Amino acid sequence: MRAYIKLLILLIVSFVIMSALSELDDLRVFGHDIATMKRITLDAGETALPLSDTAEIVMAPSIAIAVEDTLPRTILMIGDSMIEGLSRRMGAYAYHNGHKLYAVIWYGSTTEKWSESGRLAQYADSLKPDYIMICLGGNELFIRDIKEKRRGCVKEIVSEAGTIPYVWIGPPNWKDDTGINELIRSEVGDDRFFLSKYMQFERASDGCHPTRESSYQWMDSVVRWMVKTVPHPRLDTPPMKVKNPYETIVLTPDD
Amino acid sequence: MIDWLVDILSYQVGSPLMFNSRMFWLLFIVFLPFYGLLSIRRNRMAMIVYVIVFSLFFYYKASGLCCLLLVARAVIDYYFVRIMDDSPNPRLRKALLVLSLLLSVGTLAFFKYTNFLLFNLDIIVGANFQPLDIVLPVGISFYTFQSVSYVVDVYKRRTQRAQSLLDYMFYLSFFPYVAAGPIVRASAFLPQIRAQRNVTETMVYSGLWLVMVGLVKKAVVADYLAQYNNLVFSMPSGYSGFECLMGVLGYSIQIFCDFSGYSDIAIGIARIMGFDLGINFRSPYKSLNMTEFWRRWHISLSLWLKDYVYIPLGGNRKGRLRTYVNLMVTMLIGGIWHGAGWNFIVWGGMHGVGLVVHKFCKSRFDSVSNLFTMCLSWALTFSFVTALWIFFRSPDFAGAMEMIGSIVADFRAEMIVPFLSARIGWVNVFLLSVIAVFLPERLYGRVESWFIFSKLWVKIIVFISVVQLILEFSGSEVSPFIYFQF
Repeated sequence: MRAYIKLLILLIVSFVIMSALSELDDLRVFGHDIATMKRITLDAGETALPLSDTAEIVMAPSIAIAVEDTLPRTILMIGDSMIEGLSRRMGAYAYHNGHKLYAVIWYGSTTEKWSESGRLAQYADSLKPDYIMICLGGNELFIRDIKEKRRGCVKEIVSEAGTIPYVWIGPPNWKDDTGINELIRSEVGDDRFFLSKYMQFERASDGCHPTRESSYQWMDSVVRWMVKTVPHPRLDTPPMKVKNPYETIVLTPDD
Repeated sequence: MIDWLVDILSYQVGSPLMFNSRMFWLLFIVFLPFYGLLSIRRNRMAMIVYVIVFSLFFYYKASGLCCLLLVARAVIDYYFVRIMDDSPNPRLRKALLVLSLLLSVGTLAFFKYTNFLLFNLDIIVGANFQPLDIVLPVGISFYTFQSVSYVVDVYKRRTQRAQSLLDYMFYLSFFPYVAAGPIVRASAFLPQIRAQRNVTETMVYSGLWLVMVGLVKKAVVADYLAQYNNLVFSMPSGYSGFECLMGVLGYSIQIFCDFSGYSDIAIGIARIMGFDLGINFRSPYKSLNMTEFWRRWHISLSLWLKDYVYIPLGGNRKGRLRTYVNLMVTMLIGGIWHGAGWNFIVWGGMHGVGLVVHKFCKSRFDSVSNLFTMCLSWALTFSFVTALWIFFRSPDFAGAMEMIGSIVADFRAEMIVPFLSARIGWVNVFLLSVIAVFLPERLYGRVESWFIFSKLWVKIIVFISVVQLILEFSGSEVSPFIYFQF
């Protein structure tokens, strides 16, 4: 018992000292911030997430694999008009974290147009991205028999990404869809697909596109999901107002 | 406050009580004084019940209601063995042995291999079986092997049966090893439960030392190296061959520190409580051949495989060819024990090939032993073991081949300098770990002795320094031990 008493003294004294050190703010040794123990809070079970995070809850897979690549990377973002809002905020992420972002906005485009044109493969070949972000499906929310008509298109786009890691951001539904979200999700898998369907957006005057601020929040939600769930380039959160130079390629519906 | 207590006491998916979590150590500090009191009062029954309750709580936090499987396993084993041991009828004894083995191995097979079989049946017969919603209970592979060893040993009269159901429950559920080993034999452990226990300061501090070493291995080295290794293994095609190679080498150190760290902590906690679990790792990367590697790596598993698979198959007693076949079968079982996937089968099979090649070459090259051949043997063994970790770590067979393809066909030596400058922290931890792995074992023994016999205030300073080191390196979340998944 004597041995246990001594051991307990050792453990308790150490615990008290560590706890006391944790109470000191800005504890530094040779200019290095000393890590401190986190307090065990009594409200550990309570969580309060903003509405925009509901999609993350819906989509969180049972096993999260969140690994971060810390090297500067080239990111290619492609898709329909939704890219316009998303890419502004993504540009800030890229600039803040030392990445190079190319955004290809093809207005009015669909999975069908992208798959038939082979443009993703062309951009992947010419821009040599390390990471691809796709946002497509917004123009195909109400197509009948979508699964039969578009499955091959989604497969083709995925195959054009090749071995380059990618994520697919689902469309921001303003009405219930006929199955495009389910189709993309089944083809790319839960671990690459961000479901935007159940998020709440502030819409622009057309009633469809999220406003700029709402798009920023949408992109922030996507990034939070990526950081928790999928392999990703470094994505530390940038300030909201920052000059974000990135290259944009714009394609019209007729291209 | 009540919510907080409920939170602590209830099962939460993905939040087991792990040895590297603060919650475990806070509970252990509460657990230990009562354990000490019950031990010193020679009230063995109360001590046994107390430890069983804590062990089942520990296991419940890891596996939820699957802890009932463990209890059922203990009850079935105990009564089967009791009837078997008392029976003079050899046929009944054998029938009970077979039934018990079928039940325990069958349960393991159901949880671990059903979906793997369905997946392969889908491919072979072109069917469309949907995978079942099966959750693998934590530690089932480990306690199943313990159960098998107990039943077989009693059947073969190699050990005496447990004196009571509580004794057997204690053995099967003992919290230091229930989740991820080491695989302790009943013959070595059961006598310790009822033995007169005199826990000395030397045992307690030796245990504490092992716990500290294990925590440093896990929280400082393994988890830090894992950050880069996970990145590379999750998308090998995004990296040059050199970066992939560094990820593989890093994983070699990571898995050793992760698993041997867990073993050190488990053995250390048991030692603090006065139990001897033996050793599970003995500098495996110093091995000069594959046979030696398996005598040093996961010793409790390799001895189990030897005693309950290799020797019953005939071992080396039935000619050279049969020895090779037995080795291959044993290592294939060892591979699939680790996981249901072709990558694990390839991993186990290749280790079998390594053992066969060593057995084949042994008699021919034993006479040629000098410094050069020793260095060559070490380099070959280390490279072979490290290369096979690719199959072990990759999510599937295709991922492993992608990694190998990247290393072989896309090495890109020009990446060496940018890599060293961009990942200097990782490289430093990796190099220091490599040095630590190859330091002489006696040096660690000396440092341990110094710690055990140092003054209490010195021990406090060392302990706080270790905890601080862990805080400096650890991430915001507690990382699970790799072997929890098996």
